Amino acid sequence: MRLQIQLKHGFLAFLFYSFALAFMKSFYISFLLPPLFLAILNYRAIFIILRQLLFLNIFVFIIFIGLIYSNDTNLAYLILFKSNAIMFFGLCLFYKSNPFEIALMLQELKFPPKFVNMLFFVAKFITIFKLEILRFNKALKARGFINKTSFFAYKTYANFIGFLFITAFNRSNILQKAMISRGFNGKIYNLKDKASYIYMSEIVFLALVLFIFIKPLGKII
Amino acid sequence: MHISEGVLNNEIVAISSISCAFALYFSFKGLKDEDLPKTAVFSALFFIASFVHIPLGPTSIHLVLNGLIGAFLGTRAFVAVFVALFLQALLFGYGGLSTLGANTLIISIPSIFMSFIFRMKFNNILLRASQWFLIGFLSILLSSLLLSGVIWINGENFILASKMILLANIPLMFIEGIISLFAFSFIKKVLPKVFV
Repeated sequence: MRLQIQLKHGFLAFLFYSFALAFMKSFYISFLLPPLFLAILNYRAIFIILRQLLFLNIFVFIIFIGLIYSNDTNLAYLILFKSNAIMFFGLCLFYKSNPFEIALMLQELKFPPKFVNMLFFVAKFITIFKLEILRFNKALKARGFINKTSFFAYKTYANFIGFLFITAFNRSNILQKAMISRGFNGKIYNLKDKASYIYMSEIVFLALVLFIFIKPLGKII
Repeated sequence: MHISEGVLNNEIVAISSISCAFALYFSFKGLKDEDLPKTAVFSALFFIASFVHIPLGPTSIHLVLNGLIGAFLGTRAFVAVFVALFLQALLFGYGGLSTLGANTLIISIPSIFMSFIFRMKFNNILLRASQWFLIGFLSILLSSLLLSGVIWINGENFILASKMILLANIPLMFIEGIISLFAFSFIKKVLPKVFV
């Protein structure tokens, strides 16, 4: 049996899992099974995923502290468990994905073409801007810039943001002209294999995600 | 600025998701093919803002830039913010799918309002500088108020948390205001035609 979850099936499971769990008023131990299943599949990157999860807990921690001080311990722990289970699920599934893969996935899932096209364009621009940020950071390092709380530092960053906005205007004009000259008809084509298949591990996973909400086991809160 | 998964109660998740879906349907319907590149490029800029870390004392914070984006995009900022938040939710876990509706409304509504402030014309340098500062400052202030408001109505035990969240966002308001002021003055010098 090939242990693999395709992004499109994983996304559908994540969509269902996050809404279903968000609506739950109790937390059962069985809700942890799908994220654990994904963690086993991605065991090599587990520390990267857990580090990101820790960073994402800042907001949840503020809510948790607020609720503990308001003497609502049950709700505090319920939110802590629910949030972490959903975030861990999402991180395990998408930690190595990029915006292009997300756009391709939504195209495969037959999302509205305008939304998919938008995602393809956003993915393209993100790649460009990421390179600009790398270049900017290198330039700052080369010029001996000291990154500290000062008016000068803020002005430097603001000028860079201004530069990114100007790049954005120019790039959008270039893309608009390219779309017109190539007779863009609202569709973006790709060379990806159109054959649709589902692995046995995916069937087990999707069934598990459904089952834990039909018959939850081991109530914690 | 992002509400995490599992924090909001069922009513808020349902109402915000449905309102966002309706607004999104009409926004995409009204979005012409020729508007796609400009909306996409600003959406990418909003997405990338989370990579720019501004120093603040011993720590650093990342920018939101919803004011600047709203100033240039107007109502199209709604689509731009939604797409960027959708990608952030999947790729980094910021916010989430069940809170995507609430997060989109919280960030995009003040963003759209900033386009009205941006359209005001001032000849006085001081007034213009205040306008540019306010675009950054007010967008975060309004988003923070909306964010705290949503947390507040989530339940009476959330009142303390909502106050803490509002307080935590105060430094960001001023930093975004300063960044917005200098960024606008840079754009005005290099590409003045966008101000016409």
